[in-house]
Amino acid sequence: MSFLESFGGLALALLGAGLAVGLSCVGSAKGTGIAGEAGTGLLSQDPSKSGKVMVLQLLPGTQGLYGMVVFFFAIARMGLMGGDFNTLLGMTTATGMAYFVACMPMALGGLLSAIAQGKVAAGSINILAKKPDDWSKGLLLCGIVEFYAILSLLASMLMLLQF
Amino acid sequence: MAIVRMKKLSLLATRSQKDEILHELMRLGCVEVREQDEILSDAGMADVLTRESSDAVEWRTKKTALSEAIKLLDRYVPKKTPMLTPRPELGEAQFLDEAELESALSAAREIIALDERMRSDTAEENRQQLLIEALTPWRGFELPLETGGTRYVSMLLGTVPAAADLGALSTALTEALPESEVFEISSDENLRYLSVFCLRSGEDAAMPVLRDYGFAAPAFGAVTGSAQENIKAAQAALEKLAADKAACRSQLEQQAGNRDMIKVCFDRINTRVDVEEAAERLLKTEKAVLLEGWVSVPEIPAMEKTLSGFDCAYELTEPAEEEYGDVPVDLRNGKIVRPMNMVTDMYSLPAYGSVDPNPLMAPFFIVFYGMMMADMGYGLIMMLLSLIVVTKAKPQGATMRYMMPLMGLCGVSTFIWGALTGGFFGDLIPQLIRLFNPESTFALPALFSPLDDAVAVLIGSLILGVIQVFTGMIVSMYMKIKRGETMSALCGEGAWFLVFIIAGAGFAMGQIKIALIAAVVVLVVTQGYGKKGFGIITGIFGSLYNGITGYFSDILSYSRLMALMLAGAVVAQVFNQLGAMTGNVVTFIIVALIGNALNFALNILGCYVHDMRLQCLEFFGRFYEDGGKPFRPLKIKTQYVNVVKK
Repeated sequence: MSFLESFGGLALALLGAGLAVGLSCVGSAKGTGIAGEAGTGLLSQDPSKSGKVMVLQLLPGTQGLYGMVVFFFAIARMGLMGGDFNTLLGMTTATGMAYFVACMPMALGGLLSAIAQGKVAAGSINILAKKPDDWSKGLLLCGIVEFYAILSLLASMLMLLQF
Repeated sequence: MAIVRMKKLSLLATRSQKDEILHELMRLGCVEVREQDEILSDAGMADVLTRESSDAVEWRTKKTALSEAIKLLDRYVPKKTPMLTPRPELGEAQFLDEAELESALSAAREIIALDERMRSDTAEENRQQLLIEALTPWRGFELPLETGGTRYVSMLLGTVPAAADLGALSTALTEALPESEVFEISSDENLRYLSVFCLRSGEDAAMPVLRDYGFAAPAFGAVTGSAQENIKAAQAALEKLAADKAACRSQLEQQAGNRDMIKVCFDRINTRVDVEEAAERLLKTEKAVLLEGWVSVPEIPAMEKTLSGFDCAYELTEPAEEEYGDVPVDLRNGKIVRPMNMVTDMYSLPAYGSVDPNPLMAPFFIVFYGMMMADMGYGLIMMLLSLIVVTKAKPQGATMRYMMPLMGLCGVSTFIWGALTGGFFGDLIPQLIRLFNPESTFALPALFSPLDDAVAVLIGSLILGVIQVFTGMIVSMYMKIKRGETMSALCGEGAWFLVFIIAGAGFAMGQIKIALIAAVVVLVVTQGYGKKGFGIITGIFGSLYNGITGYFSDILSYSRLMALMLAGAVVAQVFNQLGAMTGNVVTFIIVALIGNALNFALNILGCYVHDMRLQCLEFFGRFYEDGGKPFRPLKIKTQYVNVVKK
């Protein structure tokens, strides 16, 4: 406990908020990266599909945004925005740890679901290449992965709302 | 409003009127001509009947030529059509008039020929350019390049690498063959260009030395005349080619005037191809043809009226139940429900003889969409966008025709939910007011807010989910009872209804234990229905497990309604706040606009996908019988013009 106390509450809380956005963004970057890479293959054959490829590439990008929402919400609840920094430094380790934990569902859910969704999006680009009329089915497949990012967001938000 | 009834049509007509009949049927657009393989597999029939022949191949070739010409015109002489331009309209009689076809085809052929000429010109240009490049270093050499020497003297032209030591080469050559001389004509960073003169009889002695220094033949190949002359000729050829290309281009520009005509004729030929392909499915004897197909019941009177003008006999039969798999499915609904086709088409059409899901789904789809998006500002944009596109561009394509009205309907719902939650581009207005007056606590009136009443909204979404799942179960029961499977309906959905009622009552009265026992008893009694022996026990446990997990996860899935509502609202608020942090009205508006546009774009897609998932998995899963084949009647299908009936 004294080990955690040496950091102080604020640092733990900010670490949690930072990881929520940071890991979600890493996941989204990887996810959109995987999908984008698959997209270049199709676009080099058929540039007219760029709009649809972009939509599919964008789908794993929402996790980063959700992470940003949790981050923003966490620091707003802490009172970091426009609050007095010196009083914030006095945050107890227990409170800080609570913020940290509340941010974790989004951090982990965002990171891993975005990568998984990126792979599905890359597969959906294959659908777009081979069966262009059925590409919206790929959209649905991506949506199913997306739900777990939403649940992570929901869990983090429901916890943060209690602070 | 539901799945349109179909009847089987068998039509015998004289062969001479075949084309006319097919054309008339195409104008009506209510008959799908089907393949008749099973008749031909009967040996007795196959003696009399053979497949009708057609000119489909010839027309398809013409169609390819026109589409190629359209593509070429769009590439060489691109025409900017402003967005939201509706397709030009054409009367039906005018559309079916094929007088223009020949001139369109000849224009198309000319365009294709011009393109080929331009391409061969470009290839020739490249060749000449390469020649010029190869000859330029030899410019200073005035003898004709093919000279090769005199009777006693050999002249060798060639290159050595730039790094080669010319002095050493010269010395080595003189040692090997005193009667020789090397001249450097020019050099660049890679090569030195040399002419070597030696005694013809000593050439064999000179060659090994030259080779040691990397002496290689020049790049220009067989050329007659001096380098200078050849370069001049190539330049003249280049000028000629450029002029020819310019001429082609201006001719293509002239042809651009025919673009609209070619496009109309493409559509004409396309309908012609359809007619010919339908003709291929007919069977013929010497004097008669047999057409088999499906006709939609509401159009039968019109078809009978048309056919009365021909020498033909026909029979309409109701499809038998075992044929339902072959009957094509057409969904017809009113204006509000029709856009739902977008969802059903994407999923899979309902089987003939089952229920049209669109009217059942429409209220849920629209309400759910609005709930997830829930913002007055976004709703307004959707309504406006839909209104403008529908009235201005009159979209005809399969997706746009449904997508735009659907967006408008969802926009209305989004606006209403936005009014309930007090969202207008998130919290744009309160933030804006706070910029001027930091003390203001103004907020749009709201019945509830996804942030403060998160749990209440979550419960509300689950209740909506229960309602939709129950609706699905009722439909399924209705379908089973209609087919005479009353017991199956009662033991399946009926038992689960009872379980839900018992569970609800138990919770309400605090008698959870008794309710639980009662529910298990009900399920144990009913779930073995239709199974035998040991199958009863596995049936009971199987459906207990599948049922409980299935209903639970399905209903919990509706939590996304709340989650997306919250996510959308919070993202908008975050961007508004980021804008407000700049403390300046102009930057606030810029940041808030960009952020809201991003949020809008993500949400409009996200809400659609999630709404569709709820319909396709949670709702359709309860009752839907898919696998219907779409009804593809012979009708006028166009890409570039709208054909209006007059």
